[in-house]
Amino acid sequence: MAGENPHEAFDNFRQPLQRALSCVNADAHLWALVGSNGYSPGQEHTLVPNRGEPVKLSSERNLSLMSSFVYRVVEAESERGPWKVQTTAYRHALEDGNALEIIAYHWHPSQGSAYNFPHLHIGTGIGASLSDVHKYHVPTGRIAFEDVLRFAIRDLDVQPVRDDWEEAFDETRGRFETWRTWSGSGPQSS
Amino acid sequence: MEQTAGTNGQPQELSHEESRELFDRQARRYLEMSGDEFIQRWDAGEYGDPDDRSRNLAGVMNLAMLLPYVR
Repeated sequence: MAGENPHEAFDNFRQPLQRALSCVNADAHLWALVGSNGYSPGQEHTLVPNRGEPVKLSSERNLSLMSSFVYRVVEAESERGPWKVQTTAYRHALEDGNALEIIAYHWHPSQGSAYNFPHLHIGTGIGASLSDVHKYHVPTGRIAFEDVLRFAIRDLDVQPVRDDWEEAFDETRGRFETWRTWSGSGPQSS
Repeated sequence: MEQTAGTNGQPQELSHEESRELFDRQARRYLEMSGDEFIQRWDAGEYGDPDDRSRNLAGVMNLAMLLPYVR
């Protein structure tokens, strides 16, 4: 997301995420983490919903969402500038009521793991006997936050809290597609 | 924990202490240990690749992503 200054770039990054999140939990809010005002250039920032606590989802399975958005605010050229947010890692996990992971989408190329490509975990909370599947890193392309939430609604029977959730997802995901600078396996994967 | 929005509708910055508390809660939630114990084990090289699920629980990667903020 671009902006005329670092703060505007951050705001343009955050607001669609907030809107998408409001489709599944009306009370969850996004917070910037320590040592970070969320928009200073030259450092990494982490934005987490609900102050880092699980975002409760309305579902019979008592599901929660845990997400982290790691990014930098950088100078950019052309229509993407003069400032933009560059995502450097993400984690979106759907967990059961016992904090067991059901599904988790990861991309963390610089966090000390050899699994530096976007991937999917099928967690132990899935409740099925699938041998070692919980150890796998299933490659994915870059995943949008809205895709995770849409999956939760459509396939995990999470109840949206807004009637216009599809319209909201289409709009915010459209902005994501417009401004993203990479897709697929990612710029830092090998 | 209080779950209210920032007074101006903007995300709020967690203080270093609040981030340490968050880290500690997540360590207990996922790994049943304190945040300090996790850091000690991390620094001792106990976890190796944090996302290697053949040796680590999912929570190790979750905490690894927060580590830079609690040092």
